[in-house]
Amino acid sequence: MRYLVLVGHDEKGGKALSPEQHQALFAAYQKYEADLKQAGVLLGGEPLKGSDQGVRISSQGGKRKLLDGPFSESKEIIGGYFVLEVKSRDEAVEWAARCPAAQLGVWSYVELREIQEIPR
Amino acid sequence: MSAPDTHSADQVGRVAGAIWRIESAKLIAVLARLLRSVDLAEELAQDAFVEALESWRKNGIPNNPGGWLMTAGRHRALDALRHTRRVERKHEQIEREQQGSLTADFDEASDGVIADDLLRLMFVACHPVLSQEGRVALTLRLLGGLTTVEIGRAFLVPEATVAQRITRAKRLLAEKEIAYELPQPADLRARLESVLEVIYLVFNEGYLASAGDDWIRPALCEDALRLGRTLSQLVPTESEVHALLSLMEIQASRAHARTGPNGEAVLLLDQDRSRWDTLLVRRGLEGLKHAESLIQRGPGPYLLQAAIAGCHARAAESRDTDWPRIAALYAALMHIAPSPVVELNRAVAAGMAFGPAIGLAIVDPLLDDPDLSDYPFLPSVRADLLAKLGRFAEAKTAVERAAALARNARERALFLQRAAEYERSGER
Repeated sequence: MRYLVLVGHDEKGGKALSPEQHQALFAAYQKYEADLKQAGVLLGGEPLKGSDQGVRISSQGGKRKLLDGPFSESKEIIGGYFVLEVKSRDEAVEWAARCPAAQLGVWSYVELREIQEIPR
Repeated sequence: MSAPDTHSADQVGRVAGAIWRIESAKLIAVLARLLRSVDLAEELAQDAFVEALESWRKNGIPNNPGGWLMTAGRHRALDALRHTRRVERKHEQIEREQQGSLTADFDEASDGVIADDLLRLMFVACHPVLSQEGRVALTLRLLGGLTTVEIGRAFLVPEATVAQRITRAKRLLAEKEIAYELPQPADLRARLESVLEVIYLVFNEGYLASAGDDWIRPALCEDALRLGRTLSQLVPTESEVHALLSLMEIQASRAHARTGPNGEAVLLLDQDRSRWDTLLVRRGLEGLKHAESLIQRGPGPYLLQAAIAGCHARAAESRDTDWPRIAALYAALMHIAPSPVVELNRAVAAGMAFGPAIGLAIVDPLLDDPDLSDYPFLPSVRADLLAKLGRFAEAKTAVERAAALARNARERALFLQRAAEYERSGER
């Protein structure tokens, strides 16, 4: 079973970190990634740049509508993701719970979603 | 700590099961280093797990359940060692000294130390003194976290047989006094080969099990992939380790495409390539590139096989396949790991690359090979080449021979269907 671990956080919370805290967080992610790799469950993943560099695209009345970031109206944004391959949902939950974002307090969280296998 | 009432007993059991799957190999590996015994390490790891279950049911699941389990295991190992030493009536002074170093051993092991422990456990579980069956069972149990029941179901043998294989393997390790250490640099390649062989064997057992059977058999592929990924982290500089992982990922990428709607096998060239798993293809090709960059004294057998798999993976359609390169890779494989099946595959590739007459010239000498005398794909390949040369009567005879050797009804039906086609083509 494949799972997507979505790392969500409040951008303001991230910006409030001191350089030392930033460094510690970076180290925690490195360790997390190393653990996932050593356990053989990591298939992929990347951090994402800030939402100020992002864009939302939709259509309105048949016309393309672009909304440049930052997306101030949404409190939380996706800051990165991991793709895991595990044997059970419980295992996925356990790995997701070990993600630094799940341990930092209210300004960050992890959302775990199972990847839908498309029957072809 | 979570409040006890927030976890039902069942939930604790499920979480604990997941923790066991994640932590058991590390726990057993660390305990085996401390205790110098795989058998005792596994026993104490299980005891620690039972202790964890009881405690978590009472007090809730701790924030760091993996660390909790490791600490419980270490305490048990320390107790066991103290007990052994008391029994041995060591001089009090010596005992105090040893306990100094003993507790040092028990300090929180760094990630690097745990990685070494895991690797040691892999080498011991795949030790050449053990039978192949013993190595497979021990590896899946100690490093894959599979139960004896699961291993039995996966390999279609009774649980008691698996238990026996594991007991025998552990006894042999103790009898032969296999040191719980990493192989000497001079032995590393040979010992690594044994580990790679076990992993690929597990993978193939899963890969050959058709879908629709017991799910646990195809799941062996995932177990093998996982072991391969772990090994590639533990021995990051060995080309063959990355090559095996690449080979398995590329093969696994075709899992969905290799069976048709009625469960029939679909051959590589007939597969709907849009059904290949692109994530695994991409990972496999990246791994291959990495393995190639690590080659030291010429490519190894897994690298060549991965490179062949890579040629197929890169072709968007089967007609885009780089057959000359595949033929060359099979020739290189014949050079370092010769086998009649490899030669037969070389014949197929050469036939595609340079014409059926060239392929047939490679196939015909194989007809005398005793290892292939019952192999249906030898006459099948020969039939295909003969038909391409317009020699339909001979092709029909050959494919009928393949049908007679077929190992199941579905395979036989496909061969007979081809025999009928050749007959029609011959009449035209």
